[in-house]
Amino acid sequence: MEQVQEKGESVMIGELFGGGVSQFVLDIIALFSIYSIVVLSLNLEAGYTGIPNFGKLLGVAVGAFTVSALSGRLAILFHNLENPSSPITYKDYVQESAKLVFEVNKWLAENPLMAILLLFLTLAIAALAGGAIGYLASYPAIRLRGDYLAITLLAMAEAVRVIGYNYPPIAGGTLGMQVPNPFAAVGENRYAAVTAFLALMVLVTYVLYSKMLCSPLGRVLRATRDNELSAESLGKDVVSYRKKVIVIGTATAAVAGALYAYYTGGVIATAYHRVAWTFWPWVMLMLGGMANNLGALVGTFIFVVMRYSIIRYKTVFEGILPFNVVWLDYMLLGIALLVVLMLRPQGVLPEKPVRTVKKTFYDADRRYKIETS
Amino acid sequence: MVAPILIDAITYSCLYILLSLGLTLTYMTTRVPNFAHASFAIIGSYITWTWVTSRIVSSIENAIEQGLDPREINVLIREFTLQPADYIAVLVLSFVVVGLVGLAQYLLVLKPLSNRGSTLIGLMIATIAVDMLIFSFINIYADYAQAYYNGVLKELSEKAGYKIPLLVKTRDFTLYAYDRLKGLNVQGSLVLLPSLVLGLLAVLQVLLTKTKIGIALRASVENPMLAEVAGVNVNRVYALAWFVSAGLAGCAGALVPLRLFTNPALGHTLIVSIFAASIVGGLNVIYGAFLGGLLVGMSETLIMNFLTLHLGLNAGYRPMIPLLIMAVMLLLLPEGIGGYEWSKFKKRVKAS
Repeated sequence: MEQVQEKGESVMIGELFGGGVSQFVLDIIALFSIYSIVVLSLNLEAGYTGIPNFGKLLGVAVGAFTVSALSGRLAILFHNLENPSSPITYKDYVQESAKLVFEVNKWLAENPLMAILLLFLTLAIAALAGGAIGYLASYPAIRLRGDYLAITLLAMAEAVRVIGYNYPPIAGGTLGMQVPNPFAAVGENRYAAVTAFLALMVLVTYVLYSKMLCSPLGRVLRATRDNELSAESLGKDVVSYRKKVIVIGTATAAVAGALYAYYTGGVIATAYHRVAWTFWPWVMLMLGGMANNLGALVGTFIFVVMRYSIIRYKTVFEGILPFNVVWLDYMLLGIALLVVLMLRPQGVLPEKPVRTVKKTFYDADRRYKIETS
Repeated sequence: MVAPILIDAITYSCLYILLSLGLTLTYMTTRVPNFAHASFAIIGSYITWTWVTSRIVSSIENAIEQGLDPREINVLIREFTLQPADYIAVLVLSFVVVGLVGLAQYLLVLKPLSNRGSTLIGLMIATIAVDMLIFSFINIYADYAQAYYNGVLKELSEKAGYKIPLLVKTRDFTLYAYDRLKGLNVQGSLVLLPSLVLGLLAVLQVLLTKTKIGIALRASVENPMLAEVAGVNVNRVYALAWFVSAGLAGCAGALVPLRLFTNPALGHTLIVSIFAASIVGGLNVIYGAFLGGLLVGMSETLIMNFLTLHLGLNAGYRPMIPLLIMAVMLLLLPEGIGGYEWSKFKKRVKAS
């Protein structure tokens, strides 16, 4: 199965990285953006709350599968509502997906507003589905020790992948499925437009997450991470916070997955595997620094640039290495993790105390402390 | 003659028992779920592959030197079977080699990390890193070995003057055809796996209750500090536990290609079922692994067989069954079948 995955991925990457240098830079930015969103959500779960989410794939896959399952069908529905005289009809969506998506794209190119509506609607549905499935998947083990939760989430992510692979209406089974292009109106500059949109999404996520984690919520999350018992003794419901975090994190990852599906223009279940969407984000996070959002971005950037440069300049490595470059990927992943864990477990940018919001509060607090001590 | 589905159920149950036993043991000592455990097994599978392939190739070599004709060589390849000595050699070799890999993981990765005060998350990530390393090495070896043996066969073909009808492959391979016990007309692995499991049960029982090292192991698991005070070298005991666990995984893996199609990524599919088996049995009880492995192995094969036969469900959904069992178990009995005090349950039933 892994072989198929490798092939599927290398085909996709061959398409992605075939172009010139400008295309390469665009691809790097796009992949950096998608992975940044995933890593930010992982940072919320693992870095701030201490949930070892080894099922990051779960959210990403749910997002991508939502897009593949719904986006085309919804677009056709909208099209038929608007043009009742000339509806797009189909018998088997999965079989005819390529043809239907081609027609839908033509229509979307003429109706950019509809395209934007479709994009945001599917992103919202993906987030909702991700949150719901994240809640369900973590439910059996949310009260237990972290390692049980890690195992459960890893297994549940696997389950989503198995369903996506074996139930063709979701993601076209072994053959995959085409996805409509909401950026059809832009025409030639599609990649530039998608990349700009992705970069914007990262910015939004980053700002939202930073705000959220600077709020009292962030403080509670760190407290539950550092000492569950003392947080509970202060009346904080640790389990309910964990549930919230899993829901938010998985929903965010689902948005990333949906964006990735739109970016590549197709979904195939084999492209959503544990290594790419759980282990790589973990490497990025460990590299950049847990519980530091800027660190998460830095780690993602380093990893994405390194990895895709290796793929782009694969031929150079093929001359030097005595083995297939594909395996270098896994080897580097393992070595990078071990080196970071051994030498710099806090990552490139370690966790820092949160900047307090208003100075007056801070002064009052300090005065209170001085007076009482 | 045993029904094929029962053979499958027995095979999987035994595999899961052997693998989850090691997983449970390492979890009890180091308190970290080892995500690399199933890849240990695949190392064993490739040891078997190498052993069998080199045996076949060398017998072809001998035959060519004796001047056998193409048809006789063809028969030789087709009739090749593993001898009892082969089984023993493969099992011992896998146990030792994979055991050493496990020992290395404990001594070079997990122990230094926990000495540096690494968190549970850090340790789990480290086992994933080890898994990735093992996975890449197995793949590199698979590429290399395939090229090497096919090269040897080509050379032999040239030497003999005709094409030898054997193509070596290291991915999606099975050694099913070579695994026959002469006279008994059954698969060797079918005898070996259950007897390995039963033997292990007996050995464990004696080891853990009667010998000094077994008692030291139990003591170090229960209370490392106290055990150390009593003069137990906890580190050495843990290292031994890791060696034995990995070795058992190696033995299980060595028998995998005799029944299943094997490739380097098989470990990544097996690991989920193994975790399910360990959790169902109870991650903190050694004997739980026997129950968990049996339950998960049996239900996975039998329920899936029922569903495909009677409801026409795609067999690809099979990995869902251990997951569902695990989820139900975590909800109802998170300490596992082996970890629950059944006397309490009895009392409760009597009281009501």
